[in-house]
Amino acid sequence: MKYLCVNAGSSSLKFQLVEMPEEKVIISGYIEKIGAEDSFWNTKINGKKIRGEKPLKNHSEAVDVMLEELIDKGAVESLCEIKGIGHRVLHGGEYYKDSIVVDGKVIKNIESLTKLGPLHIPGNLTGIKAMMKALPDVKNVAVFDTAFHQTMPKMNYIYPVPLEWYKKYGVRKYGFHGTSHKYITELMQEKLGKEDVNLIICHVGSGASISAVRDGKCLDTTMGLTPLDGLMMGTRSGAIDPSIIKYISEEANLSVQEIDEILNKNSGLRGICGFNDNRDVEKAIAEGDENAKLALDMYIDRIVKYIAEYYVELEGNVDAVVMTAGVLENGKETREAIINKLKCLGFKLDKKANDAIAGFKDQKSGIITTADSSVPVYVEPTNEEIMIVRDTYKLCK
Amino acid sequence: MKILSISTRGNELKFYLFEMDDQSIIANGIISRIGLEDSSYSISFGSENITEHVEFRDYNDVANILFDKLVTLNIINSSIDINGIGFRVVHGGSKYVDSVFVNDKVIQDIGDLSDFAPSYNDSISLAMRSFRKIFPDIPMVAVFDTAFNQTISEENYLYPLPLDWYEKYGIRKYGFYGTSHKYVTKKVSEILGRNDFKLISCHLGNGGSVSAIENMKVIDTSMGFTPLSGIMMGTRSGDIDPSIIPYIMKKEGLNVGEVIDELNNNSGIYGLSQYSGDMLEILEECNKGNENAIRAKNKFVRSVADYIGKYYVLLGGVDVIAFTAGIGENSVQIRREICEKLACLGVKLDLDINNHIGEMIKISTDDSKIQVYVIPTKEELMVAMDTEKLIKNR
Repeated sequence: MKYLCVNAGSSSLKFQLVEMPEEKVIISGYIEKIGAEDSFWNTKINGKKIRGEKPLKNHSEAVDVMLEELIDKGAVESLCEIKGIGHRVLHGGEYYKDSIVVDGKVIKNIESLTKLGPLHIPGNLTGIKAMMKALPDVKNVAVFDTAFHQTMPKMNYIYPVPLEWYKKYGVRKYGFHGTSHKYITELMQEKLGKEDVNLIICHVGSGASISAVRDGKCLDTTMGLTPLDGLMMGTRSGAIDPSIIKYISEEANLSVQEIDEILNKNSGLRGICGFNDNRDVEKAIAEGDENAKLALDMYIDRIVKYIAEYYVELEGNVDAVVMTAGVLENGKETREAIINKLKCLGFKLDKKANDAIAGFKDQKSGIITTADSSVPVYVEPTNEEIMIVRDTYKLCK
Repeated sequence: MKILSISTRGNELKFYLFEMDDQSIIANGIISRIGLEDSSYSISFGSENITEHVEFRDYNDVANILFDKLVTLNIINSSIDINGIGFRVVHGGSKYVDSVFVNDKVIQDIGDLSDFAPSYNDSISLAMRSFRKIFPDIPMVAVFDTAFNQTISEENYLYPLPLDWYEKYGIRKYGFYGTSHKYVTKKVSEILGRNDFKLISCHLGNGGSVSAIENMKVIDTSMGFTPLSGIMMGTRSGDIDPSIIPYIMKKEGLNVGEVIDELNNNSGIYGLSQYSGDMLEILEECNKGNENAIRAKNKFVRSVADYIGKYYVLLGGVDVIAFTAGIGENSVQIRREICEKLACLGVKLDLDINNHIGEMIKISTDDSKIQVYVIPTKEELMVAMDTEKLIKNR
C-alpha cells in the first residue's frame, strides 16, 4: 500500500511516496521557489535524480506537478493507488496531542493558529486543501510539529509572564521538531527494549532544538512559542535578553517586526561570522577566521548548557543522549567538542567510534561514547517523513 | 577609617557609614523623594531611629543636609572625620573593569550610560557631582556592579546577534549584582583559605542572578544586557522567547516599551502567581494550596537549578555553591528545594543546619560532593571595602 508524505513550506513542497508497511521509499521530490518565475524541482526514483522546471504560481500548481511526477516517473499507474496522505503541519496549538485525520473542523483549528506560524501555516493548509481537491476520496492526515511536546507539564510550558497572556493569547512554550523528537524516541524505545526511556535528544540542523524525554514522553524542550527560542542556530539567535529588542529599536531605528526578522534570519552563526551553514563555518575556521571560531564556540556552548540543564531536570536519570539532524549527523568535531565539555558529568568520548560516523560515510549511526561513559551518546539519523507516513498509515488503516 | 557608602535608585538615596577598623555600621539611613514634595530622611545609629520631613530640592541639599545631620546628631565631629565616600554604580559599561576614584570624566561616563540603567546611573551621577562639589577634599570612589563581570570571555558575553550591534551599540552581556557576587567570592576564599576554587554564587532576592566563578574571576553570569534576563525573578520574566514581544504588541496594542515594562514589573513570580512577587507571601499561599502560587514557586526553583546545572558543566565541576540575598539568606524551603534538584550533582543538604537563618553557615553535609554555604551579602560594605582599599593604596 502506498502512502504519500507532503511537507509544504512557505515557498517549497517536499514529497515522498512510501510503500507500507515495508517503509520503502518509492519516489521523493523537492519543489522549490513556488510563487517565483524560476520554480524548479528535483525528483529521485531508483537512485536517479531528475530535474524539472516551469513557473509555479502557487502551491496548488505545485501539487499538480507532484501528482504528474508520480505518474510520469512510473511511481504509480494511477493515483488511486495512494491510500493516504500525511501532511507536516507546523502548529497544532493546544488542540492536538497527536496526529489526526483532517476534516473541516481540523482545517478551521489549524487556520486559527496562523498567527502562531504566519510563515508556514498558510503553505501547510494550501497543501492539504489542494490534495483534498485532487484526491477527494483519500484520507489526509495532519502530523503536527508541536504534538509530541504536548505532554510537557504546565510548569515547563508556561512562561514567567503575566498569566493572562497565556489565557487570552496562548502565549506558552509549544516546542517544534516534534516529529523528529518522536521518531528518535520510538527508535530508542526499540533499541533500549523499554517504553519508559529517559532521553536528551539534540536535533541540530539549520534549525535546532533539544528535548528532555522522561518515560517516553516530552518533559521539556528548548524551542518555545516560536522556533526562535532556545539554542543559537544557523540564522536564529535563540534566547536573548528581551530588553535588547527595545534598545535596538530605539538606537538603530528599526521596527520590532524588522528586528524579529533579523533575529530569525541574520543572527545565530550568520550574525557572528557571516556563514550560517556549519560546513562553511568549519571551512572558515580551517582558514583561520577568528569570528567563525568564536561563532562555533558560542554555538557549542549553548548546546552543552541545555544538555546540562536537562540532565538536572531528569535528575541524572538519563538512558541516552541522542544526536540527530544535519549538523550532528555529520559534524564529528562538533560532537567531540560537546562530549568533551560534558566530562564532569562522566561522559567519555570514544574518538574512533565518533570519527567513523558521518552522513556521507557508510556508517551513519552508532554509540560514540566508551562503555564506561556515565551516559551513552548515540548518533541516529532522523527521519521525519517516515514518522509522518507511519502515523498516516496507522490512522488510515 | 570611616567610609560612607552610598547607593541610589530613582529619587532615593541610601547611605551607610562604616567604621572600617571592625567593619561595623556607625549609622545608616535613607533619603526619599529627592526633588519631590514630601521629601524626608530617616537615620538609625546606636539605638536611635529618627525620621523627619526635610526639603531636599536636589543632591546639593542631600550632601549638605546629610553631613549637617551627622554632625548635629554627634555621629561625626566634622566632615573631616569621613575618610572616603564610596558610590555604588549599577552600570560601568565595558570601560570600567574595577573600582576607580571619582573625577569629572568618570561622572560624565556614568551619566552617559544612563540608557543602560535608567533610574540608577542618572541619579548616582547627580549624587557624585554634588558630593564632589561640596566636599572636594574627601576621596571618592565609584564601585561598579558590572565591574566584577568584566572578566567574562567574549564567547560568553556576546549574543548570537549581528556582530555590529555589539560594535555600534554595545549590545553584550554586562551582568549585574557584581558587588554582591564579589563579596560572596571574597568570603568563600576566606572560608576555604585559598583562591583557586570553583564557585556558583546565587544572589536570590527580588532581583536575582547566578554567577559562575573560577579562581576569583567571573566566567559567566545569568543577567545580561540588562537585569531583565537570566533566572525568573520577583516581577521580572528572565529569559523568554524574544518573539513573544512582537506577538504581544500586536495582540494587546502595546508599544515595545510597554511590553518590556510588563516583563520587568508584572512578570516573574508575580505574573505567574497573580498574587505577589514576594517569596514569603508566595510560600504562605503555597501552604494554602494556591495552585498558581505553587507553580510560580516551582518554576522559580527550576530556573535557579537549571542555571546551576549549566554552570556546573561550564566550570567542569564545582567546589562551592553559595546562596545570598533575601531569598537565598532567609528561605529555608527554597534552598532545600533547589538543592534537592541538584542531588544528581552530588549535593546533599543538612536539613537541620539549613534551618538556620541570618548567619554565614555551611548547610551541606560533610559527604556532599559540593559544599553549600549561606553567605549574607553586604554590598554596602563591599563598596566601602573597595573605597578603603583604593585610598590606602594611593
